[in-house]
Amino acid sequence: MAVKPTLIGRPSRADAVVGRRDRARALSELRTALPFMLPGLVLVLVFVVYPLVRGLQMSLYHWNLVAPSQSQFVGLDNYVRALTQDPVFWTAVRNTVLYAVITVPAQMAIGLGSALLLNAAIRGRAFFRALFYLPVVTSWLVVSYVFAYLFSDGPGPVNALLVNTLHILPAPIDWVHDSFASAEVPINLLGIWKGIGWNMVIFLAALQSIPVQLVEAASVDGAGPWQRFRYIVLPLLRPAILFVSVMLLIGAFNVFISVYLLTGGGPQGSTEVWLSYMWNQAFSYLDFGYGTAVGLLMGLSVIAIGLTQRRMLRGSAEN
Amino acid sequence: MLGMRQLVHRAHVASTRGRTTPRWLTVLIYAALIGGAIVMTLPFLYMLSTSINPDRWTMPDPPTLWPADPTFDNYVRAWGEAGFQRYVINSLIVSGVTLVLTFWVATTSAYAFARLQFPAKEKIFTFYLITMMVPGMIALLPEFQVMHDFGLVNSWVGLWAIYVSGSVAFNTFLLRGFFEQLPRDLEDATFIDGGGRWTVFLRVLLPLSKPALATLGVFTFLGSWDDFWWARMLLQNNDIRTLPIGIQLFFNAHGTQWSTVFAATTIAVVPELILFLLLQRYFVSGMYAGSIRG
Amino acid sequence: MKRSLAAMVAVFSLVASACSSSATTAPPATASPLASAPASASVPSPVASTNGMDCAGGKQATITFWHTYNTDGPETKQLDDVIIPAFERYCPNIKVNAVVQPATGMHDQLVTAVAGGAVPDLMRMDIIWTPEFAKLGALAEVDTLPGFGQIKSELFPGPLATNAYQGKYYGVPLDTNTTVMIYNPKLLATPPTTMDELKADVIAANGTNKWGLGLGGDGSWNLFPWIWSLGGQITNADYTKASGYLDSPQTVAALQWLIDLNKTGGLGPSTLGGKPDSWGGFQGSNYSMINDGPWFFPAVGSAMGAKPAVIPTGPGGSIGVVGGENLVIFKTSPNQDADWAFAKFMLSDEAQEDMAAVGQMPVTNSASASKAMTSVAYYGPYVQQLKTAMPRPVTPAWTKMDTILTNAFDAALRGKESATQALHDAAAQIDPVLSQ
Repeated sequence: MAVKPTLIGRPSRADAVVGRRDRARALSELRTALPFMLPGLVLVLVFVVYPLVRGLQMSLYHWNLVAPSQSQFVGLDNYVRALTQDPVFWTAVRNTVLYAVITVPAQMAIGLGSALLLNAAIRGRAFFRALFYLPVVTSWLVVSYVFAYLFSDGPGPVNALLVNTLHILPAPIDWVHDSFASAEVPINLLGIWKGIGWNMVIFLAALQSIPVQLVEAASVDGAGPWQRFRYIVLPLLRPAILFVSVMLLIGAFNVFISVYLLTGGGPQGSTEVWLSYMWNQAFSYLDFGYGTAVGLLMGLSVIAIGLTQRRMLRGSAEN
Repeated sequence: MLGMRQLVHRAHVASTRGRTTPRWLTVLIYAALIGGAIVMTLPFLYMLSTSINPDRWTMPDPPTLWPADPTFDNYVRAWGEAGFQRYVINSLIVSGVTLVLTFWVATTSAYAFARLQFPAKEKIFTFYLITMMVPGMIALLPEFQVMHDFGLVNSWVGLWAIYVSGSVAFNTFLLRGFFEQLPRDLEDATFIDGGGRWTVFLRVLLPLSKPALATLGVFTFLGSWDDFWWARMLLQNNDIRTLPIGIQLFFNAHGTQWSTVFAATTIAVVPELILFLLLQRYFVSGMYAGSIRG
Repeated sequence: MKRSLAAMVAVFSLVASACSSSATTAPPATASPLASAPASASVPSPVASTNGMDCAGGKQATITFWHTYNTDGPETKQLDDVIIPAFERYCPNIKVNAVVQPATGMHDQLVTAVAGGAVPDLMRMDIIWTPEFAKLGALAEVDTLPGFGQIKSELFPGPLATNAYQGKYYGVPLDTNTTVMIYNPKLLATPPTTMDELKADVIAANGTNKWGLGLGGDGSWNLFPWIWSLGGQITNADYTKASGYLDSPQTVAALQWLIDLNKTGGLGPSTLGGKPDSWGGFQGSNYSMINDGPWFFPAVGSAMGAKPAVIPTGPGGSIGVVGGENLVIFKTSPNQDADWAFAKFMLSDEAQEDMAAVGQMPVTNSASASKAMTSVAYYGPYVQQLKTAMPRPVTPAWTKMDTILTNAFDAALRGKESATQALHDAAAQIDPVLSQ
């Protein structure tokens, strides 16, 4: 679209000529751009957007699985039900928010700390980086099973460590089955452990892009390490921090496989998260309309958070 | 401040002598790093140790890192398991093609957003971002129906459609950031020399983008290599199944052989590791550069 | 049976493994003369007394058959290498494309397939899902298919009943099983025959890392035999009401008995999903007894010299729970004749006995009495137990019921709720679900 001032009243002849030229340019720009952007756009529209829209449609019905045309339209009832009549829904929301609040700052802090350490280390940087990044490149399926094993009841490795070696616990805990609190430990620890490497890599890159002279000038001026960090490094890390926090937050809200495989939402539905609850409603209770509504509510929340943070990111980039 | 002069003098001396950190601090740093590395890799060590444990049905009790008589039997059994080798080959093919297709769609799409103009460009970009934030799980059933309507159920083409389309938004976002901060001089020079958009794209931009492309490559490969939701849903024929489904077959209705399961998962992790080790030095710059500009 | 992933298993109501029990008396003595004949000979009878194998009139067809037989055991091999080739020899015009499916998440995958219109021709389906998918309209009625009446008379009624929905049949049973007590003779000389004896044995066995009985979990599959044998009930006879049955004084007493047993310390941690799990604990000689199906023997038990015994008698008798799989044909299958031909072959003595050799108990009277069964030492108590075993409630609402029941049992066993409270709440939640 050519940008041109809109005129009130009839455009003059000169304007018409300018308009034609702008339109011609716009058209030729579009023609150039089409082969580049169209395949992606088409794929997204057909395979991502269309199913999402259909999902939205499903959420407005009491969806009939085998005979969809016979589904009963219920409008926003599914949403009302989730928000006002379903305590398990709010448990799922609570658990998801809890997971985000615990894992996101923890990952970032430990990731940043590790990056600082690695930045100061001269030798073996690639080696450590690889080891820290290992959990990130392993699939959720595999690490969930491994954590299930680690946190097994009785002589599981974690219990053995806490009871026999460190003597912190008097007796082994059945982490995954005992209670909401005990089950959340492996779930959250897994989330933190898996993401540290990703954070570290990004922060490390950010740290390495800070000009050395800036830091040294500060130390010549007499600034101690903490002051250097707080007033020079941290502000320069701000874009990275904001980016990371947005991505991590979205990722945290999308937690599913680890909960699904570790606890299945138990004990007694106390560890359900948003997506696992959606899954249960859809596949175990065959209530796809409701399940989709639950999922869409999550999508809306994530969009709200994501867009807000993005605005903050834009704001800081302009500084 | 008191002692300012001494501080300045000390700092000056330090900076002229070169950056030195006291010995004890260096030791502390490395100790912390080693400790961290152990924590990061300990779960994998357990996985490995279970995989070489001859006892198939139970987990070692008390838990040990090195089983009494280690054996590679589990690997032999996992590898020889019905269809396992075929699943590995299938996964290699599926992920490989996904890589190529995604590569193509993502780079062209990001280039369009970074360097070209077209109507509603920013609106479409925001639109992409929104699709990134809505969980794909919601659309599972409608997606399956779309696949069915197109006749893509039980075929790799359906998987490729899902994988590639699912990553367009994120990859465009990431690569756009990277492209935008590449200097335009070379591009402008190429234009002047009479090159067109495609020449600029292929011969100037892409070669300069190795870090970002390496990052893209690894994550795309991993995403499709690990995926079991869509693969399981779509691939109904045994011949075309991918590895994650093969691993799930080790979980029986009664009694799971953990040693074999972990042997299988270890085998599955190997290609991911190799790819990562080969390309890891690009991650740092690739991920970071794409991130801050996005 | 499961490790700490028992919760996951419970959620997806896996625990396929057939269980079946039928309330029949001893199978009739008339066995088909071809019962023990190997594959080569003549055309087998679909079931004992019927004759001839109709191969869908000779029409060419390829049918897709989904199953969840294990791949790291002998089951899938037996199907692929022995049974299907035998069928294809009899009916060269029909090709069977058997596809093994992971057992985990099978239910969800099936739901997706049904909704998306991408189901196979026929499937070996867990009995507990059959009413649910019949209600969805995904399954074809089999009682109108030729020869059904005759086959019906040859099948164990219990497993057959799991195929019924609103007065019609939507599948035929394929294999059945149940769980019985399995004990380690080195730790326990003679198995208990009454519940009191069991309690005494459990208390006596209690020691460091030693327990008398390690149940595979605290879900319906694991606890129903105990509840029933101890005199409790789950629902009324036609599965429409839980109140008054689930929360009756007898059921509460039964659950309380289990809670008390747990308090003695002799009930293994596997019951609540902890370690060692039932198989591991048995193998490690931590558990003197476990409760499990016949598949345990080829896998672990035979090597250890384990022995089976029927469930101890309690106030309700000695009642096991029926498990198993049905063979269902999907309504949208274009090859229903060929499907039915294959189904009938799977119910023939030949196929049933071939499967019996790999731990899949037959559902026909004739196959059950055959040499293949009687020659295997460990099958005895299972066949015995099957005579009185009961199915889990045969209703489309079973999946939901299962979750409610498992939560209730778990809460009660962990002492979070009293037995009375837990069962009362569960019954109140189950009633509306049953009436849908």
